[in-house]
Amino acid sequence: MIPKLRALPVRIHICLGVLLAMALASLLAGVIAPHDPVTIDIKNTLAPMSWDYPFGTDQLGRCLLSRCLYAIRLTFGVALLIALLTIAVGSAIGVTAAYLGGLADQIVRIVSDASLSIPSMIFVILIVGFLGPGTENIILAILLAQWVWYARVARGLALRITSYGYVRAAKLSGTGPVGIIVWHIFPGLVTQMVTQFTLLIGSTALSLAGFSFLGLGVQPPSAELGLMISDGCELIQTHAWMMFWPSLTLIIPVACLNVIGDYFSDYWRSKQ
Amino acid sequence: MTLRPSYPYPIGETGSPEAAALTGQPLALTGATMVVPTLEEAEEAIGPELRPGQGNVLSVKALSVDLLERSDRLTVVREASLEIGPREIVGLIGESGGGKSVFWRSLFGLLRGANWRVAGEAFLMGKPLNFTDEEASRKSRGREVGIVPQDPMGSFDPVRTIWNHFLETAQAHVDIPAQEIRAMAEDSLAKLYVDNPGRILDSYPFQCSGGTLQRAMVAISAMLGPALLIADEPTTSVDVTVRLEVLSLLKSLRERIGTSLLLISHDLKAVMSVADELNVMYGGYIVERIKTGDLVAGKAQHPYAKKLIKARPRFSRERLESIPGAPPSLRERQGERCPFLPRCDQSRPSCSDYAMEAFRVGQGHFVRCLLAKGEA
Repeated sequence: MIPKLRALPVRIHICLGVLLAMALASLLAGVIAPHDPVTIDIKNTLAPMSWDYPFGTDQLGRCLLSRCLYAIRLTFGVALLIALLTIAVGSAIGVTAAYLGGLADQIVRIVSDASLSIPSMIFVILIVGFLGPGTENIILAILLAQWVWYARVARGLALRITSYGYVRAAKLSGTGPVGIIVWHIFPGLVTQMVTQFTLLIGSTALSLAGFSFLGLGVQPPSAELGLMISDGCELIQTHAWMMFWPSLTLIIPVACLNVIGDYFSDYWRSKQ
Repeated sequence: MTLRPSYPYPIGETGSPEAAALTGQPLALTGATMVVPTLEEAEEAIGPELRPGQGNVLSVKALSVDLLERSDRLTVVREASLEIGPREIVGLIGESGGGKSVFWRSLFGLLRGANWRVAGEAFLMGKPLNFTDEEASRKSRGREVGIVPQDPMGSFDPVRTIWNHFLETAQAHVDIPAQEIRAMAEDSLAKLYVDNPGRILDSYPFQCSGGTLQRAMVAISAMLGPALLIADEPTTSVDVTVRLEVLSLLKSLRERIGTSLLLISHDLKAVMSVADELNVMYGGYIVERIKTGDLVAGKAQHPYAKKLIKARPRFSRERLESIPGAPPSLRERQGERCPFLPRCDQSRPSCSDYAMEAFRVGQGHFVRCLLAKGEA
């Protein structure tokens, strides 16, 4: 089911290595970051790259390297949380709807069709508009905009699995709905959902940074990649590195996650 | 631990043939020295007077199943009655679409969708069955009645061991430790002539042969000691050699496990080789109920049943006789009239007024046909 680490192609090794290194660096940010990410140093604004400030400083004199390290933690940590919640909520609702059928299924279908008809960007802005910007609200908003896709995937898979002989046999021998869902349907979703999850972390990190960029997500002075890019955007003509470094920090892990997600989805498709 | 179905009769000494027969109790699963009485002993112990009456494992009285479709009410099964005595093998045969599956599924809450209406009475071991209470139906499936799924290969979850399937069924019904379930599972497999049950339990479905899986499936259905097993088309999806094996397996169930068996099939030859009694279903009616011996002796009276017997493949150069026409569709066979009339070559003018009441033509022999009226 899961390929051996040694059998993986080189590109996956590289991606995994990069991700691992960045994860470690961000988790150990408190130890390895040269400066405090939020301390303002007015005497040292917009400093160029130097040994003391490897990525330079921003318009408030904060060390960009330190801010990037902390920002990975925040952006990808929150993205991970949203992705987990999305997958969990989506598959739970999708599987339940598929298994129960009838009215429950109809309701889920109508709700998901309705929310799919609104572009998810607009949908998130709408929700944040109601709740006000902030980290918790953006988590909720992205979750509400995304679960539908995974509910549909899970529903489709669950419908297929429900028609399998072993689910019918389990019903015949008196296993209840909960037993059937937990024993037979969820295991069938795992491979698909793991792939989706890998790809979802990357895209969620991107949209989270995007909404922070727009001022709808994480609020300053937290170090968050979208916020940092937004700050850098204003000074792009004179101090391009202020935007360059956080952008790079965002792109690299997302690209790695996409490569890995693609590989696994191909791998499992070829296995079936 | 002994699992015993609730039975409305006093329980005698455990282990004696009488007690076993009365309680339907050959289901003592872990009792190693259980004496399993033969059918004759069991019949003797029960006494003939109990047989047709309430001593039955399953008795269905005038069961009708309707399908509501928009404004229509279509009758799929009409006034079907069926009795299965202790350790009896009863066959239900007929063409596809005749209502066989709907008949048994309606008894155990397995009809899908809310558009079904079930009327009539049914008793499982003297206890009335509630057709609408889904939870009660679920609890009786697997425990009081074992249902053998059709396809042995597809009925096992490929990512779980055989043991997990036993565990799942047991845990859906009883709250006992896993070691005891393990013992029950091994015992149940051993009774179906599976060598080395422990090894089979620990293997995955794809590591087992079709025959082994079939046995495992029956063993799961029989593990908790149901009084009745239902096998719907057990021979349809298997090849000819396995079919023989399945049939002898089902036949041995009575001796080995002591359950009654309801065998549903369109394969007359297969059912005849196993069953004590046959119920021929056509167009939603059970048109003839006959002992297998009588059927073999050519005592079948319903034209459809007679044709069915003639239509069995034989080793001869003669052309196989077939029944002209096609079975009526669900809409064509509404109303209380003979569904076989358009295809019947013995029909009389009075047939069109006949309201399908059943005539008793002999011991345990009922026919729904005007031709049988005079011979009652």
